[in-house]
Formats: sequence, C-alpha cells, structure tokens
Amino acid sequence: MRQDITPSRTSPSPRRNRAAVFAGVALTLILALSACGGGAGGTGGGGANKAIESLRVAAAFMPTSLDADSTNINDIYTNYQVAAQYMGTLVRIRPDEGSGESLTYARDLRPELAESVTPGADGHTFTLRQTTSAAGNPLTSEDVKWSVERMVANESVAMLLLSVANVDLKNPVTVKDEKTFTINTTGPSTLLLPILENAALGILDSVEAKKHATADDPWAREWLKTNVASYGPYTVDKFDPGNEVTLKGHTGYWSGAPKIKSVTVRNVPDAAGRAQLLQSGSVDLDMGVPPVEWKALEKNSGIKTVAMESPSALQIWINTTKAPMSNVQARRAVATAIDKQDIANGLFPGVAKAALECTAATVPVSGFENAIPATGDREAAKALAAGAGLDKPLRMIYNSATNVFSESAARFVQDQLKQAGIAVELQAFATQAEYQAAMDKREWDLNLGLQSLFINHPLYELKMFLTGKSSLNIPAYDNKAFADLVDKALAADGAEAESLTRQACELAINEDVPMTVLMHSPYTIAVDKNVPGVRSYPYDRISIVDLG
Amino acid sequence: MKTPPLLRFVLVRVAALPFTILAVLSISFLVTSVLPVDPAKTIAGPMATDEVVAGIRERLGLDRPLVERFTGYLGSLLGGDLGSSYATGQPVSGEIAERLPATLTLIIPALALAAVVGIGLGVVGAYHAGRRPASASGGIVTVLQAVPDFLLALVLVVVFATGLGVLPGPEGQLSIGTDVPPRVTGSIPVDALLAGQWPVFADAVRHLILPVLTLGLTYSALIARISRALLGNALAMECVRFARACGWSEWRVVRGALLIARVPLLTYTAVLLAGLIGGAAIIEKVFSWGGFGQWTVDSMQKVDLPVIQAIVLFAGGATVVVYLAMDVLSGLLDPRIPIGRGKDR
Repeated sequence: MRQDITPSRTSPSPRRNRAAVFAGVALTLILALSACGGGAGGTGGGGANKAIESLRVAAAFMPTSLDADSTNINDIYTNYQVAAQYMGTLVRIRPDEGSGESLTYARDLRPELAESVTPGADGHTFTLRQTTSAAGNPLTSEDVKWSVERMVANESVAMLLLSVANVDLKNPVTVKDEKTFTINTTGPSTLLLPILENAALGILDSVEAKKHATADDPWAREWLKTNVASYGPYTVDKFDPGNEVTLKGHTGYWSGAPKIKSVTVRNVPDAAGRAQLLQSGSVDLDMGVPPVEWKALEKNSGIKTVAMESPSALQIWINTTKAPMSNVQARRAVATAIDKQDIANGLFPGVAKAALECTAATVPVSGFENAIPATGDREAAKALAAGAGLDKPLRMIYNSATNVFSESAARFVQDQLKQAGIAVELQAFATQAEYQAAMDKREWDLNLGLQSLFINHPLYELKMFLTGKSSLNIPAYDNKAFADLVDKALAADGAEAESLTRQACELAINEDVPMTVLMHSPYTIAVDKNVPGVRSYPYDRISIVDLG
Repeated sequence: MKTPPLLRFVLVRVAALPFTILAVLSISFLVTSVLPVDPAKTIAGPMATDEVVAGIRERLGLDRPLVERFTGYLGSLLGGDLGSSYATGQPVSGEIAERLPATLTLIIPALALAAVVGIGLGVVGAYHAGRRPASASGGIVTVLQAVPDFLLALVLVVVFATGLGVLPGPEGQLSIGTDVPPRVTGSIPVDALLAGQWPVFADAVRHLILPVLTLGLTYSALIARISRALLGNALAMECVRFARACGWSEWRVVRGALLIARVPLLTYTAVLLAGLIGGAAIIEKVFSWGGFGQWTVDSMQKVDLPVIQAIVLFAGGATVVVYLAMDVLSGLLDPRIPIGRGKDR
C-alpha cells in the first residue's frame, strides 16, 4: 500500500542541494587543512647524504621517567634507546666505520668521558677528560663518586651490573684527585669496562643534581625523572612523559657539538604506523622494525634498512627441577630435536640467524663449538627421547605479547619436537606480569622467552642467569663445577678468562643443557636514505651523535 | 511543596550513585587484588633480589592485609585521593585529567559522524526496504561491520597519508616537534583555538580526521543497524499511514518516524559513548593517540593497580551518569515514559 502514496523523487529538493553544498564544503575544508600545518624539521627530502640539523624518530617505547637508573624496571626497558643519547658514560663502543666489520663490543670499547684507564687487581683507575655538562659544570671525580654511590643506593639495574662486575659495593669509588679516581673491585674484573658503557651507569652532574636533592630525596630521584644532568652528546629540551622527548645537542660535548642539533623522538607503539610514517616522510628514523614491515621497507628505494647483531635471543629454558626434564637425557633430546636454522628462516628470513653461540651474547666464546648442529638431529633426538620419560606432553609457556617472534616460534618448536616424538602443550600469557607469575610457580617444563642482555658478553649471561638461587636462574641450574668456572673466568684476564669461559659453556650448553639458544633476535631499524652516517652497532640501539 | 516526579527520580538515582560505585569499587579491588601477579615484582623486574621486591611491596603497602588496604583506599577516596600510579609515581587523578580530554576530543566527533552516517544509512535501508537503495545501504553496513577498525585505520592511513599524502600518518595528536598549546581544557584543538594558534589548530584537526573517520565509520554500522530496525517499525505504524493519508510529504513522514525512534536511538548512542571512553584503545594505539584507552591497556600490562582501580571507578561512574542523563532526557523527550511516576524505573 505504501508505494501508492510515495511521491515522485525525480526533482532535486532544496535540502539535497544543501547536502551537496555541505559535502563540497567539507571536502574543501579537508583539502585546505591538508595544505596547511604539517611536520616540523626533518630531512625535507633533500639530496642524499646532505647534512641535516634535525631528526624525527618514531620509537616503539617512550619512558615515563628520564632517570637512566630508575628504580622502576619499566622505565629502564622503555628508556635505554633514548637515555643512551644523553647520558655520558666513561667508555663507549666505537661504531662500525662503514667497513661492515663485526664489532665485538667488549673488545671495541673506546674512552668516552674517561681519557685513560689503568686496570689493577683491586680496581681500575681512570683519568677524566676536560669537559663540562650541559649546565656548564666541569666533570670531576666527585661526579663519578656521587653517581656510583647513587647507583648502589637505587638498588636497580646499575647496582646489579656493578655487583656482577665484582665492584666493591661498600666502597665503590676512591677519589685520588679532581680528575683521577679508582673504581674498587673485590678482585680482577673481566666485566668492569663492558658494564661502564651502559647508560644506566652514566655519570651525572652531581653539582646540578644536588641542587634538587632534599632530605627525603638525597639522590634527586624526583627531579631526575623529568630532568637530565649529564655529560652526553645531547640534553633534554622538552619531555612529555610516555609520548615525546626532544633532545638538543650539547654544545660543550667533549668531542664537539653533535652534527644533528635537534632530535625529536615520538612514541608510535604500532609497528605498521611507524613504517607508514617513515614511508610518508613524517619521520626520518624508525627504531624497531618487525619482519612484516621490514619486507615492505626493504623494497622502498628511499629507505635504508639496517639489522644489527644485538645481544637478544630466543631461548628455551628447561626446568631442571621437575621430572621428566630433571633427566639430562630428556633435556638433550629436546635440544637435539630443534632445527634452529628452520626457525630463523621461518621467522625473519635473511635477517635472523640460528644461534650457535653459548649464550644470547653475540661475542663469540673462543674455541667453543656447539655440540648440536644448527639443523638439529631428529633421529638422534628420537633415540635420546626413548626411555627418558617423555611419554606425557611437556608444558611450554611463553609470553605472546612482548615479542613478535614468540607465538610463531612456539609453533615451530612444537612441530619440530612432535617430529621427534615429543609432544608439547603450549600455554601463552598476554602480559609480562602473568608470564612472570607462571614462571615463578615452576609448573612448566619448557619456557620459551626472549633473553635481552644489558651487557653483550657471554660471562654476563652465564653468571646472572645460570648460577645462584634467585629467580633469574630460570632453569634453576645447579652445578657447582660450572659456577666455579664462571666465577674464576670473571676474575681472570685474557686467554685464561677465554679458556675458563669455553669450559663453562661446554659443561652447561653441551653436557647439562639447562637451556638452548634458538635464534638471535636482530635489532632492526629503518632510516631515510638522506640521513648520513648510519652505522651498525653490536647492541640494540644506535648512537645519534654518530649520524649527520 | 510536592517534589516534581522527574526531580525526585534524579535525586533517588543520585542518592543511589555512591552505593553503585561502592559495589563496582569493591568488586574491582577484590578482583585486582587476587590476580596471580605481583606488582612489586613487575616494578622491580626479574633481576631484582627478593629484598628489593620486599622493599617495594612495603613501600606500596602491598604487604598489609587486604581489608586494611581496602579501608585505607576507601578513606583516601573520600578525601578525593585516587592514589598514585605505581609506574610513574604521579597522582592518578592528574593522569586522568591529562588523558581524558584527548579521548573525548577523539570520540565526540567520531560519535557525531557515526550518528550522521549511521542514521542516514538506516533511513535509506528502512525507507527503501526491499528495493535497491536498501540493498546498497545494507551492503555498505555489512562491509563496515565486517572490516575490523584497526584494518580500516591502516587502509585509511595507506591511502590518505602514505599514498595521497594529504593527511598526516599515525603520529599522534600533532606533528612531531610541534609545540602543544598552553593547556586550558586539555583538548589540543580547543586549546589551540583559545590561544589563537591557527597553524597548531589546523595541524590538530588534520590529525583528527583519520582516527575520527575510522571510529565514526566503524560505529556507524551499529547505529545504522539499529536505526534501520527502529525506523522500519516506526514507518509501519498506523500513525505513519495516517500521516501519509493526510498528505504529509515523505520528508516529513521520515522526520516523524525519526522522532518516534529518537529515544532508543539516543540511548544506544549514549551506551556507545560510555563504552568508547575506554574502548577506543586499539584505535588510540594505531594512531599513537596517547588517550584514556591506550593508557588503560598500558596500565593493565604493567599491573598498575591504583590506575586500574581508578579507571574502573571512573568508567563505572561515567556509565552511571550517562545512563542517568539518558533516562532524564528520555523522559523529557517522550512524556509517555513515566520517569519518577511509577515503579517501572
């Protein structure tokens, strides 16, 4: 019935005309807005390798605190890439000068704020450079003493690194004169110089920081959350916690003001978003490119992709305290069944490498040969599994949220172990807190996780993560002979340290198998080709002071 | 003097508000407290010693009995203190004030767009039922509903930012390196307008277009579905037939049908608004918006209990207030709804 009284709709009504006008106005407004505004600074599409003065960076994380040795671990995880730009450290890694050579981190350190260093049996004696902080205060031994004592008081990452390097925490620094001091150790220390490169162990301008200390806060923790007082190449100009930080070049930096005078780092948590911003020219540098975006960016002729061998690796920790994995034969069966090469090829083709080293560190252990081939050995694994009590499915836990590789890697491992007759049930956790809680309960057999080392050195992982009774020793590996070898290596030098490290690796990785390292997780960045000076580093960050 | 029924209704609901909030609070406090995770360990990290973790637990008061913590929390709340974030150490109320305007700046225009597009599609679908325009409208709605919001966001970014280059990419509320205008309302475009910073205002509006389009189009599908159903019913009513028989123009008939459907439509839109305050998290993340939704997800990942409890409190309170406002508005718009005059509410 309704159609009988529906009027004709052939003639345009005044309202429809108004709608058309509205649509036209809206479109015009969008185009007008598109034409004005726009980004600030950047490379501006200039010629290749033209000097640039400002850099726009998209980062997956942004700290809520600028304190490089914050008492909140989240701040350190989210800040290490930015803090490395403004914290002055005693030593730093020299960059690959374009030769494409493989840097070894521990052996390629160069003086930074320290001009020279003399190793000794009970500590290293340093001489400082003539330089000033961004606030204009000269660098002195008192700055070092105050900074290191603050690290000890903070009981955070820096203190942990100092302790693993055998630093005497009760009396860490002895000042000799204004420019000379000794970092005291309880014996010889292989790791002292490598740890001093980390931004968490950066030297603070104590004169400036003390101005903001109070009786309740003698280490100026509150002030240093949103302010920087150090001797690095950059200082913080503006800081919007969790969102954006703008750095400006420190004109008094010891080796001269940085070529790139201003750096703005914006938090863009979504990887696809970062890639889009780089491709559209809204940013110059994308810090952290996962495999899907890597493929797309690699094809873009205006963008350079760089993969660095960082001390991060996918590992499987094996619960040595619970049957059946308390049986070393079962652990060997699992490690032997895994085809690391297949996993690396599948997860990040052409970029990721199967890990044959002893630990997540990329620094090789001289003379160490992994007893298990990169492609695994299924038949050998089957033989080992028979009679090792592997008749029930093993429970493997992993964190599905914090690492792009873990979900796929878990499936690869499950499939590979199945081919060797070992059944695995997977249990994923969506947050780090839930994953940590499950780890602590120790009801798992296998634990797939990403090991990201603060220090790219095998002894660091062997000591921190495979000895002791703390929860850091995820497999709860308990072998006195191994622990003794590691402790001796940490207190030895040169060839002796290398020999002891090799023996420790052979004992743990080839014989006892409390863990197996699957694949190095490279640190991948993508940068506008107009940005000159992009180099490779053996860790998961770049030094912007080397660009430009 | 007798209190008007509507005012009485509002007073009763407002008086019940603290009890509703208390119930929400108690449940959220209990649930977050029995989670099998340790916030102190999350803060200290896996490398911390047991002593350090115990120290943090003590500092945060997590070593105290649950009842003591709850009563302490309620006491602080009564004093207007929502506590401080475990992650940042900043007062939670300050962080809400910091982030909420960003989300409102996003969801209010998105909802307005969703209403315009959704009701438009719904009208076409209902009015032309059984004919081609209705099929076309239904097809558009199905596509909009089938495409996940994050995918639509990426497509829009690829087309308008990367491809055509006419709009900014997903870099947040302003271009990288652009100074934020002096804070008055917390909404960047509004503050830029108040400060007379026209380039910043234009930049902020440009950054709004894609996320607003994404959310607006996604939610327009839901509004289109419900408005089509409501209008279909309204257009089939005897009163509409009578109106047509009286010679009303078709535009007037549709407007009449919309008036009949306005109350449930408004209620539905209000429900969407309440849900979007924390529910736009994915789109906020894709566009690096840094608003309330993104903050909610981040806080959950970090087991930041004071923030989670405050978010539950705020979201619960906002939902109750929005629903109350909608009930009142419904009563005002439609006198047949006996608000405050019967036992039906």
